[in-house]
Amino acid sequence: MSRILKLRQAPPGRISLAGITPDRLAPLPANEIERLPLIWGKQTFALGDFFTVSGDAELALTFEGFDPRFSDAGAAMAAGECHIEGDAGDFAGRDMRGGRLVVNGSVGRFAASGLADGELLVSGNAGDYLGAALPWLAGGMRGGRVVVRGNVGARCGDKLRRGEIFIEGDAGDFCATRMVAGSVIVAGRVGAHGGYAMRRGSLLLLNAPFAAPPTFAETVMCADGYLNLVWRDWLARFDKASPLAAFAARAVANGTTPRRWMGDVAADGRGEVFGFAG
Amino acid sequence: MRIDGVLIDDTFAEAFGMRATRLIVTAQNATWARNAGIAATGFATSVIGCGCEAGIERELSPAETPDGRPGVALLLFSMSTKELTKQLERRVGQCILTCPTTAVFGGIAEGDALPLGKTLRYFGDGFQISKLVGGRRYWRIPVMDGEFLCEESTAMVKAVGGGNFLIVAESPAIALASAEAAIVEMRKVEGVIMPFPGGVVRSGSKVGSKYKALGASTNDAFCPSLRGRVKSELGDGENCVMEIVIDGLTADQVAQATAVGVRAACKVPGVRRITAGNYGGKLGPFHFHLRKILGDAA
Repeated sequence: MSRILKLRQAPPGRISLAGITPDRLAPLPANEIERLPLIWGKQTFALGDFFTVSGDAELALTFEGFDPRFSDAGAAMAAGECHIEGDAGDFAGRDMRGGRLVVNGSVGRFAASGLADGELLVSGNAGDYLGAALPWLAGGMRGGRVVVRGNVGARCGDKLRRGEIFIEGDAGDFCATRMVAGSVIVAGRVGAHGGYAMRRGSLLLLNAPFAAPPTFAETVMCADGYLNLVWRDWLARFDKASPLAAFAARAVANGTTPRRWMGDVAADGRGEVFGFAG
Repeated sequence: MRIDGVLIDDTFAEAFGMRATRLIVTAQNATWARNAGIAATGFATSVIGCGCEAGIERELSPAETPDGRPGVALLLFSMSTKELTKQLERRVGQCILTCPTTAVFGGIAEGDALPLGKTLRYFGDGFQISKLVGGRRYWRIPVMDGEFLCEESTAMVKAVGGGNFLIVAESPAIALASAEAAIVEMRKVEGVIMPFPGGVVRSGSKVGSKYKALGASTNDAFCPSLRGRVKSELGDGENCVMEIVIDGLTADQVAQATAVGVRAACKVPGVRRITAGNYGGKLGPFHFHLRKILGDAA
C-alpha cells in the first residue's frame, strides 16, 4: 500500500509541489508530512492544508484528486512510484532522476523538462514544451522516458539531449526542434516544422508524412538493424493495446520500408527523420 | 575406472584463470554470420602465440538474437583484461565490421564492460549515431552496404582456460574418429569452446625446451615416434594421442564438457586410454580430476 494524499481543497493559486516525492516522504511520519511547507507568494501553507495524509510509509505515493494549479508534481523524484489521479499542472516530472510518475489525466507545460532518468506516463494530453529545455537552459530531457497516450502541444522535445518521448496521439508544431540527441516518436499527426534545426537525434513519424524542408536530405534507408532492436524493445515494453506495440508487431511481421531524411543541415545535420507514411 | 572398456587414468587436467567475453554476431543469413564468426575467431588457438583463444560457441536462430536475424555466439578468452580488450578491438574491427550485413552485440548480461562500439565508432568519421534502446547503448556506423550496428560494450567475466583430456588410441584414424565424436557432443555444452582446429590438437606441449628461446616444446612422453627412446607415457598398442583443450566460462561447464567428451570418445573401438595434462598441480588453480568428473556425471 502506498502513502495517500487526498485532496482536501483546491489551492488559491499556483503552488509548487517540488519536493513532495515518494522517496522524500517515505521516512517521514504522517504528521510531519502534513506540516511540510508550501509557498504561495508571500504566504506559507502546509501540505496538510490541501491534502489529508494516510497510508503506509512506502516508496509509493498516490494523490487522490489533484488540481492543475499544483505545479512541479513529482519534480526531482529519484526513486519510487508516484500516481496522480487527475490533471497535473506545469512542470510535472521536471528534473526527475529516477522512479515512475503516472498521471491519470493530463499534464501542463514543460512536463519532464530536465528529466534525467525514470519514467513519466501520461494517460491524457500534455501541454507545450514536453521534455523541452527551459528558456534559460541549453538542454531539455537528459535521459529516461516519457509516454503520452494523448496529444501534445507545440515544441515537444525541443533541445532534447537524451531519452525517449513517445506520443501515441498527435504532436503540435515545432516537434523535436533543435534536438541534440535522443528520440521522439509520434504515432499520430504532427504539426508544422517538425525537426526544425535538429542537430542529432531521431524523429520517428509512424503515421504522418514528413514535409521535409530543403535543409533535410533524403538518404537511402539502411537502418533496419537499429529498427529491429526498436520494435523488439517496444513489444517488450508496451501492452498490446498500445498503438506503439501494434505498430511494432506489424513491423516485425511484415517489415517496414520507411523513408529517411538527415538534417537539419542548417544546424549540425546529423539528425534523422523516419517517415513511415511516406 | 573404465568406460566402455577404456581405461580412465587417475589423473587430472590443470586449468588456469582467464578473462572471457561472449559476442553475438548476426547477419542477413546464417552463412554470413558464420563467415564473420570464423574470421573473428581465426588464428586463436592458444594464448601463447595468438593473444587469445576463441571459437564459435554455437549457431543462433533468429529467435535467439537481439535483432531477430540468424547469428553465431562467439567466445573469446585471454589471460588479461588488457589483452582481451586489444584482441576484441582488432578482431571485431577487422573481421566483423568488414563482413557484409553483420551486427555485433554483447552476449553476457553482467560483468566488467569491455569497449566494443565505444572504440569502433570512430570508423564512422563523425557520421556515427549513438542510440539507447532498452537501456543498452548501440552505435550505428555508416558503411558501404548500409549501417554496421554495434553494441557499445560487452561484459567480461572471469573464466577457465586449459581444461583438457588426451585420447590414447591404437592408430591415428581411431584417435581422430574418437576426438571427432567427442567434439560433436562437447559442442552441445553451453559456455565452452575447443579452440584448436576442429577442436583437436595433435601437438601437445610440455613446459620448457632444450632450446633456451622456447618456453614450451613437444610433449615427448606422448609422442609415439619416441616411445622406447625417451621416458614414454605410452604403452604397447598405444600408437597415437589426440588432445582436446577446453575453455569455459565456468569450471562447471568445463567439467561438463570434459565428461560428455570423454564418454563419447570412449565409444569408438580401439581407444585404449583417456588421460589428462597437468603440471603437478602447482601452476593452475583449477583441477579437473577425470574419475571424479566422470563419477559425478554418471
